[in-house]
Amino acid sequence: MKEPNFIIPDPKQQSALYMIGRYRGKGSVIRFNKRDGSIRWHAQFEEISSIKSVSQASGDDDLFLCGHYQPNEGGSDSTTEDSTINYRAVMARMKDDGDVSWIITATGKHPLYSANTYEDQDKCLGISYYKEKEQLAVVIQGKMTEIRGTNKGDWYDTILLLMKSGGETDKVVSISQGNLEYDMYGAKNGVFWVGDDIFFAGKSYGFKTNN
Amino acid sequence: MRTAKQLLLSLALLVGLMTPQVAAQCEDSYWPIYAGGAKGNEEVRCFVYDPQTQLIIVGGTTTSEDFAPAPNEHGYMFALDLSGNWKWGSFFYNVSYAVSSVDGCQLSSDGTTLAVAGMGNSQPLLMDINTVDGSFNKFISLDYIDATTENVPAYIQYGAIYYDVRDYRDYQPYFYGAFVKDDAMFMLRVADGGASPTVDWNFQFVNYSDAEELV
Repeated sequence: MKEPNFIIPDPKQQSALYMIGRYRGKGSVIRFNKRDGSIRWHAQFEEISSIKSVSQASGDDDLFLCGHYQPNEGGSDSTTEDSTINYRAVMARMKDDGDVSWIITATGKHPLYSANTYEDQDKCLGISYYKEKEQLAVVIQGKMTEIRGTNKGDWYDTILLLMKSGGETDKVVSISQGNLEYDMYGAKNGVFWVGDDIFFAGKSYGFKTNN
Repeated sequence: MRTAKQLLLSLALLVGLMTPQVAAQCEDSYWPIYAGGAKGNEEVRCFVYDPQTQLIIVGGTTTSEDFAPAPNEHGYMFALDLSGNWKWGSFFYNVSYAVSSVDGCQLSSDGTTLAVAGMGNSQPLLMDINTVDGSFNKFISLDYIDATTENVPAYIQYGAIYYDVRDYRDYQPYFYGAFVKDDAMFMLRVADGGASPTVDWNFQFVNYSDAEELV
């Protein structure tokens, strides 16, 4: 399955662009020449199935990427979204030569976990880099019990993660809908900083930060 | 108060604001902003901040007939200021066909406009929008030249688009886009500096052969 999700410029080299998403069933970053479309290099992640968000700072070498890994997907192109599919949120930092500085998986236990029935399900939908503070805002659409309240069941909440640019976790908060049993879906690439504030978007029925 | 508002509005799309301290309550009374219809069938696929106009642009697709004109798929876009005030909102049509989805967006290379990828009449669209009021600067529909009544290509748009308003070599404007057609991934460049847009180059991605895979 293919998902050409983003075409973004290289902030340091006018002649190059990146195409980012999913190719050959794996999260992929393809660096190509503007002039003729020829490919300089193609990096694919063995443990990212699709890249759903990218962030870069002006004048910087690095790409910050996030998405999800579906470990049991195998060779199929299944896009099933039910509770039987295991998803893990993944964040990574990549240089403009394709080298990956770090890659981090974030997942936790499904509240009703039962193998092949209720699998762990966490996806990263947004990542945004604040260069001046060397901080990352990450939005995960997840079900992990380690972060969510004890009364949360088989529906997605929004998990906002603050990370340092080196990959260390700084803070994390679960954003739920109070007592409503209703999925919150994050928007692809749906987070950014404006000054010290973080804005994010998605599809929901309301939200609040109290667990 | 906020819980009551959630129940009353029954809206589906949210745009939230958090401080880096991830406070338990949002500090600004305007946030979160909800937009959508009673069905709650709205998805966000474009979410970007334009620092020049200081507007947040939100786009996506809806099937709510009380948010769009009809219950079939419609692309939508709207703009908010940083306080959460509504600045403009639009649905788009290409003559008799709705822009059925807004699938992705990115500020143009000089940051003055917003490049938007979408679908209309089941074909990929490359658009350029004025973020001040949502009006179109450019609207390009990619029609498959070999399409017939028997040969109808099936496209999937994931939102990859970049508008370079001044190329580093020839100083001409170019759109770059990518999409899936009939299960194959395509990437193309559209020259936008002439009398009419022209596909400058176009590549289809194919899987590696076993031999290439080994290399």
